[in-house]
Amino acid sequence: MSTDDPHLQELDALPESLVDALRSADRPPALITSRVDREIADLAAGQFAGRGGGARRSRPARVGMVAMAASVLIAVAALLSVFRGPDPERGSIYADIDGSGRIDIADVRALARDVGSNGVSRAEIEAFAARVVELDRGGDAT
Amino acid sequence: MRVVLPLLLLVSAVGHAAPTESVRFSAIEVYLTTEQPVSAWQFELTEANALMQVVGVENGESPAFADAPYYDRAAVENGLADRITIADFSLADEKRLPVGKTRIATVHLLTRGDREPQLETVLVVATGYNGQAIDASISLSKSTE
Repeated sequence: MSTDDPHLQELDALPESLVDALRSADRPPALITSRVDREIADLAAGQFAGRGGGARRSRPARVGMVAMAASVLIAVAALLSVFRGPDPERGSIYADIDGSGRIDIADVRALARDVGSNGVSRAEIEAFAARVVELDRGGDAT
Repeated sequence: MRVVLPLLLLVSAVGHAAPTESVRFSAIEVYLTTEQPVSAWQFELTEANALMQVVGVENGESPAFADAPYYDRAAVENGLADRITIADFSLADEKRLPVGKTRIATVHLLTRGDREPQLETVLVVATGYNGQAIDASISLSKSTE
């Protein structure tokens, strides 16, 4: 090393510790081989796989989807029950109550005797009687 | 004059094409005869020659059947009742139910033509106080009122 180089002369004038630090900064970085890189990647994969984070995230997601589907079904059922029109046949009321083999005024009276306790209203009794005598149904509705 | 004459001929032709049909109103009383108190009854009234139109229905004489009986009011009001089914029931105590021959309804009729209507009745059902079917007969009589 020649002492004629003015740059080196300046370094000689600096403190020893500072000169060492500057020289280490000029060294090439430590070489990371592909094997080291692969081993680090494997270690990282093993570390995260052991935690089971993926499973914990997917289970709540499935539960959420099931809950959402159930909510939709309940909402649809509620809407159908609310907006469904009255059953025109009212099969439970318009029936052969006395078992005579024919629907007639005797069935109306049999039902009317229990108005209040059988859940049938007076208006439904009137409608039943009106239907029994309706001419379009043949009058006796047999 | 050329306009008036065809009009007179047209009016004359229409008058010949639609002769006036005689129409009569009458009332028929319907009686039910039973040996047991009757709590419900139903009958059908028809006319064999399609001469009849039912124009009104009244209740009978029993206080147990005080309201007008059930019948097809829409058909009667619209002039479509060439037959009728009439029925009624009572929830009165057994002692208040009618027994014997009882007028259960009065039917008001409109009859076309000069022929007498051939009325036919069919008793569909008559029941006693407990709802059991009972023997009964039905008959008609012209109202004198």
